[in-house]
Amino acid sequence: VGQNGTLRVIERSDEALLAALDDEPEAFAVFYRRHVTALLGYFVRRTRDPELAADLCAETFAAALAGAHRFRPERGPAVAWLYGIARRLLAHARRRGAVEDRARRRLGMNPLALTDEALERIDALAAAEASATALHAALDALPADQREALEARVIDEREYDDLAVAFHTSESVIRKRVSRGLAGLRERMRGEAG
Amino acid sequence: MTDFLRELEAELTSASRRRSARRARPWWRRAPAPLPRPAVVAAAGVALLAIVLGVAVAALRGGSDDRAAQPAPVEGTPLKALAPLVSCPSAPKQVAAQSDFTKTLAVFRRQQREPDGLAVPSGARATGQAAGLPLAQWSPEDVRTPALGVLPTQVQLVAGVGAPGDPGCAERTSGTTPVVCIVNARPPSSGTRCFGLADVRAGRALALIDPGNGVVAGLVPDGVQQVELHWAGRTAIAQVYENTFEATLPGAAVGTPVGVSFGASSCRSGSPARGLLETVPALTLQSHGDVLPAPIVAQLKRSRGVLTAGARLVTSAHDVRFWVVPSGTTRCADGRVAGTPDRACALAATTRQLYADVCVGAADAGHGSLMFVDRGGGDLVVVGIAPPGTDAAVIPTSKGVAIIPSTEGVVAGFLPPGVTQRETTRLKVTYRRNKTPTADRQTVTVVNASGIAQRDKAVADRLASLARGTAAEGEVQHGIATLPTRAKSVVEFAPNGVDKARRVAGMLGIRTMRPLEQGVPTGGAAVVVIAGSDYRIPFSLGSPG
Repeated sequence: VGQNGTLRVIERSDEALLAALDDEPEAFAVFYRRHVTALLGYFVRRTRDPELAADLCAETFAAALAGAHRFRPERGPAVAWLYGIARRLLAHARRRGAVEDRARRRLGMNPLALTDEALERIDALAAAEASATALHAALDALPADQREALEARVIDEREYDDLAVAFHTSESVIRKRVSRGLAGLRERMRGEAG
Repeated sequence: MTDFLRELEAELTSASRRRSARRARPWWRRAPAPLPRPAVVAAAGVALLAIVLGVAVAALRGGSDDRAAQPAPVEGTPLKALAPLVSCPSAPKQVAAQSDFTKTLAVFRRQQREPDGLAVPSGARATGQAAGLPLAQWSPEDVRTPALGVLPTQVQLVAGVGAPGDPGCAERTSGTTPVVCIVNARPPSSGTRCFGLADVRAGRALALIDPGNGVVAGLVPDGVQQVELHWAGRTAIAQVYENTFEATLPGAAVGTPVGVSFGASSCRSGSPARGLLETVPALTLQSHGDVLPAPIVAQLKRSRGVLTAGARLVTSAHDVRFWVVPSGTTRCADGRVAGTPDRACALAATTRQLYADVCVGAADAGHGSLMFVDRGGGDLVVVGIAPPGTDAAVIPTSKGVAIIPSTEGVVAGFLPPGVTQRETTRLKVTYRRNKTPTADRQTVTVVNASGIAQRDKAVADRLASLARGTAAEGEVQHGIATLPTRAKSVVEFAPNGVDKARRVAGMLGIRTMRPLEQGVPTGGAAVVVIAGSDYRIPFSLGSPG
């Protein structure tokens, strides 16, 4: 609990989650939830096939789980290691025309059924993830004062007068920064889509 | 998060728990992990060493310990009774078949039969047949009576959408989870309880169906043939029929923790080899829910591994049922085939007595194999496997020439009255070649009525892939027409295409077959698959046994 009485959730790093698996098997679910959407988007963008992407995604996480004890944090972050597995499986699938299922078999995982609705949702999820990635990139590209004002106003939903106090400036300056930030964002997103 | 992603998370978490438990155990107590193929040769050496060590260890312990092959004991789930069938003001909404359980439980994939229809006590019927079901949505097509006549209590399974457990009237309509309900319609213990997919997979789909006698019924995923139940320091074993088991647990009552472990899960059964399916096409017949009786399974398992889920009733006559079942010489501790079944056994049996079993592999089926058995009263039963490309066994006897027809490779019938068992040792059997070309090479047309672009191509590709090397192999065409969207997939057939249609429907898991309707584009084919919006391309074809 923080000083002002709000609850602060301390997130464990990916590396810590993987290291905790032997004693705390549920930690893998946290690791999975943290990365599944992005990984799915990665596969959908590269395969243009939600079914294949889902299959690859399942095998990647299974391979990560099966090989978690071999992960060495000193060699790089866990997310890079995860995408390393993903790239290897994608290359294998392209070469062989089939997705490996060795890790899933090894772990005794049941095959999962995909409905048309699930496939549509995976497609939508991947598209949303792609948009979110593009949005984050566009936000990062904004000047710092505009980005901070935009995040505080749009994401944190803070009032202009509150922001004026926080940023030691006038309300109208904050309004201008938000307005310019939004315009810049719009322009960059349009460029991304085109 | 989508259902798929949630299910994947659940699977990964379970796998993580298993992995963790396994890593926590010292290596000499771990269950053996499946070895990769290149290690087969090495495995033989290891196996030899293991046998030697096993003998030594057994000698030291003073006996063998079968428990080592069993999965880790499962935590107990407090037993719950069936909830009364209460009619609510708003009855479950009736929808077209759409349950996720049709993909998870084989009992829902087989064709519906007359006894599968929903039965509820008269009190509930008064306000509508399904009013007592604690569901938001249900479909009359997703109702099954599993293992009719085999399970002591005739429960029913109803798949639908709702909330697991015992949702009250208010919660029923808002449930959005795929659930399957065990329904006992027979008083005085009538009632129901619903379970989610995760419950079924984790061995938690269990309910007390007769509290007075401690009788429980439960559901398990495909591939489980036997379960072990643990309660109050006691253990019972129950056979699984059509995803369902029933057991009497003396002393068990509501609240008693009961653990369910799936028999020998580390030992996996595969699907029959393609060569075997081609040689004995009866193995590809669609299941109609007929279950090989337990006494017959027990007799078979004494000498070989059996894949009971693959058993098909071929024909019956004079109280004798003729079956075909995949088998193998290597077996798991619970009697299942270990690995790929490489033999087909033709059986002649009653519900309790096995008269004869004739087992052949794909390689040795070329000459055919028959057995004659006197079942008493002068009746000589003939059962066996016919060579491919033949349709009957021709047997000259002292009482005339017997022509015993072969159904999809299984010869089944009786010798003429008056022929003695002694005479059968001198009988010479020949096999009649097929008079007409078989349905094997008939063309199949796949027509898209799913409303999803390219679904006909996906179905055609899947069929061609599944049928390759089997009796259902042949040209599969698609793209000749698109029909208005329909909810249900169907296989339609011309009069000469019924056999092939049956194989195709079985392979694709389509439950409805009917003669060709007027106006359906055939493209000259005798068999037309109309892919409706219910047809799902499975995520993974390689399912564990």
